Amino acid sequence: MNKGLAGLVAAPLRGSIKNQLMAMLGILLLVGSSVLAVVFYLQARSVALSQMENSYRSLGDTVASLSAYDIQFNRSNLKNTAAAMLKADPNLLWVEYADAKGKVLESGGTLKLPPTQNLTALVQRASESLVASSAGQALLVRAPIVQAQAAPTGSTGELGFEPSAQAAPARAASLGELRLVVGLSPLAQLRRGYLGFGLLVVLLTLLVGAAVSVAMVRYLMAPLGVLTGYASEVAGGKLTGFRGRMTRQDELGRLVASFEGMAGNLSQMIRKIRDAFRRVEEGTQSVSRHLNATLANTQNQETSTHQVQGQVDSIQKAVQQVSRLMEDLSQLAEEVSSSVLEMIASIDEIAANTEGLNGAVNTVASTLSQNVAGIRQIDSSAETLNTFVEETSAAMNEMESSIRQIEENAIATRKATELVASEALAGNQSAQHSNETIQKLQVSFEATTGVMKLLGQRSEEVGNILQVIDEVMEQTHLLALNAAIIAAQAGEHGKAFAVVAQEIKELAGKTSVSTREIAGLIDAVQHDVRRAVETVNSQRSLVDNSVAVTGETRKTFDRIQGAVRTSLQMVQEIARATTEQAKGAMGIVRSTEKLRDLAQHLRRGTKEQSLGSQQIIEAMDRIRSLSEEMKRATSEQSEGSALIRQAMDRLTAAVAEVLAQNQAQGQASKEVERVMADFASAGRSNLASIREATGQVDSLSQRAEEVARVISQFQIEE
Amino acid sequence: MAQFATSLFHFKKEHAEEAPERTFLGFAVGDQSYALDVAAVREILRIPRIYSLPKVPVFVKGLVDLRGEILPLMDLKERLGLGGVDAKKGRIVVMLPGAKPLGLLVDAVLEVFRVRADDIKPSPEMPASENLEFLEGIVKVGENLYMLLKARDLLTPQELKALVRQPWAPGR
Repeated sequence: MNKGLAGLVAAPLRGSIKNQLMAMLGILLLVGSSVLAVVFYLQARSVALSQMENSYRSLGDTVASLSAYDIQFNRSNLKNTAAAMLKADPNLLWVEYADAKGKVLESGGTLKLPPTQNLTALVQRASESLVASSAGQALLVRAPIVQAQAAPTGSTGELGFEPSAQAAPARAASLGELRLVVGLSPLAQLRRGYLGFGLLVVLLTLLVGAAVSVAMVRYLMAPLGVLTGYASEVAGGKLTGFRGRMTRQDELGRLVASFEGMAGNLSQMIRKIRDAFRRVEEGTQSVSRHLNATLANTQNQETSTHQVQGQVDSIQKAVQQVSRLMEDLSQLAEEVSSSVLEMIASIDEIAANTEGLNGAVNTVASTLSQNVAGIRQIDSSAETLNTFVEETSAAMNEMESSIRQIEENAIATRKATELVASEALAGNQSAQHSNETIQKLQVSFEATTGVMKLLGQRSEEVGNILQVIDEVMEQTHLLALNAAIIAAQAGEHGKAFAVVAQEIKELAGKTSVSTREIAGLIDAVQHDVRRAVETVNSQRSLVDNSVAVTGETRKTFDRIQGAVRTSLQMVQEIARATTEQAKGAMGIVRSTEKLRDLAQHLRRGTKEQSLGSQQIIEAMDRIRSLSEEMKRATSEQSEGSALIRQAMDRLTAAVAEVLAQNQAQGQASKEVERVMADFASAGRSNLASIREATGQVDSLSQRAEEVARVISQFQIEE
Repeated sequence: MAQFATSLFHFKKEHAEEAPERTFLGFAVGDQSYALDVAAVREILRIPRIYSLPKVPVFVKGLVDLRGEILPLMDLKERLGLGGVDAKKGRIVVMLPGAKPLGLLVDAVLEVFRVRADDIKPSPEMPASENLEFLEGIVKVGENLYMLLKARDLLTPQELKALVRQPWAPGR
């Protein structure tokens, strides 16, 4: 248990500096917050204690002043007072009254003092208010009982209860003392309350502290992390790319910067060393070349030895080859044996397959007969095709003749169209002519109309004159009547005058009649003129219409001419197209004839094919009989191969005997080889000394290479 | 009887030359021809401007100015119950029924003719023909059958008085 705890504490201390720092800060925080909590607790306790003391002191003073009377006159009351106080306050452990001389008058309570002490002694000794008691620490309160002074007015001689301290402390005479021992149980409650508060303070401090210290440690440790990365990269041989990973200006930042500088310097140094080593290597290589030349000479000596040895070796190799060949032969014999077995199996398979072939041949035969039927169908189709081609050919001939007809018709149409074009031109000219004539007619019509209107006007003027005449006649008639009346009134004398008046009247009547006749004639003339004007006007609209119609006719003729021109072009195109078509038709006729030839060929071909298929069918029959024969032959073959197998077994045994003899020969040749090896070793010792020198040079070269390799492991700036 | 009648006719014809002649002015009103004795006629006029009068019978057309003389105008056609005279074609016959002249509006003036007094036939007696008091008789001249009007009786005395007594009447 103890060890585990130690491990738990030690674990972070063994980790990285970051963890160590964190752990230390954690411990520091824990201790600091605990101390803070304790200090809080003690401070709060002392404050509570002084409050308690004050309150009990004022209680003591009050009771003491109340008891001043009792201690003077009725001491039996003191006991009651003490009992009442003890009963009222459960915290009160002890109440004691002493007189002026220190003698205890009355006491009570639950306090049990240690046997060696009594309260008086404690009182004597107590320089402070805390005393040790049987119930732990307790508070001692001492209240002096003083003589209550009578009022200065001396009113009735009654005893006043005014607090002595306020009234006249100087003149107060001490009567005794009230001693109270108070238990500190309220402080225990306080302690419980404060334990919670303290824990809260510790927790808060820990949390805040932890957050602050984590941030601090991170900040402090960042450059160290960078430095660690650098260091591990340098350890791995990488000396490039150290620049600008940390731009802080504090000590750690400067440390990182100086490390980067150091890496750069180191890189340069290593490059210089490498260059030096390269030069060393070159020197070593030249030495090595010289040694190799010497070595070659020595080796020439040795090769002759080797050649002798090689001949011995070749003899041995030949023996070994013979042995190997014999082994191969044995193996081959076994393989042949197994092959024979396989062959027997294959022959059986062939027999089976031959039967399958037989079946297949039958199938082919039936298929062929179907094929022959198909060829016959093709033949009939070819015949149909032939007849079709012939029909087509006839149709093409007809078409050709119809194309010729079309051509002739096109030419006829062209002639007709040309005639229409000339007719249309003539029509257009005549239309133009009639248009001009009608326009002239229009002009003359207008002149006539003007004359007619003038005539109408004149007739009206004549009518006006006639009206005047008529009026004059009427007037005359009236005058004649009046004259007649006057004549009548004149009687016989007026008779002659009456005759004249009658004459005048008759004249007027005649004139009136002829005037009326003239008026009627003029009216008739006017009517006729009006009718003539109307007729002319209606004819004029007709003329206008004619002008429009002739214009339209001209336009129509123009259009006809255009259309005729277009149709002429089209007819020409038709003629051209028809000629081409005729050519095409000729081509088609020729192709159709070719097609007819081809169809006939096809028919001949299919007939030949049909014949061929018949021959194939016959051949297939022959194949079928042949395969039957083959089947018989394979079974005979199977028996022959069993005999071969027995012969092969005998061959294998013979081969094994030869092999044994050859191995004995091989051992003899190995002895010769050993003698030759002794001879060779003498030559080899000569070589050894040279090789040693060469080896030393090689080792030197190797070292140099090693150094070069090590240097090359450093990634330095070139 | 018939013989007697014929002889009577001839007798009358023989005496006709001796009988006194009367001169009439014939005029037309509607389809009918009427005639007045020229003695009661002063003159014939074309219709001048007519000044119409308020609150008068329908046949009183108004007044006309005849050379400074104010003449009351009566439409004979209206008086006979045959509608009004066309003011453009009609004529005025100025007659003297009494001392004062009176314009008589007629459709047309036809002629002045003479008849013998015994050619004038009395107007036919008809029941309830009080209104025919103004007819003097009937005379046939040529094709025309003239009804002879009594100038005095064309208007009832009251009517005549009323017309003549008007403040505009001449002589006041």
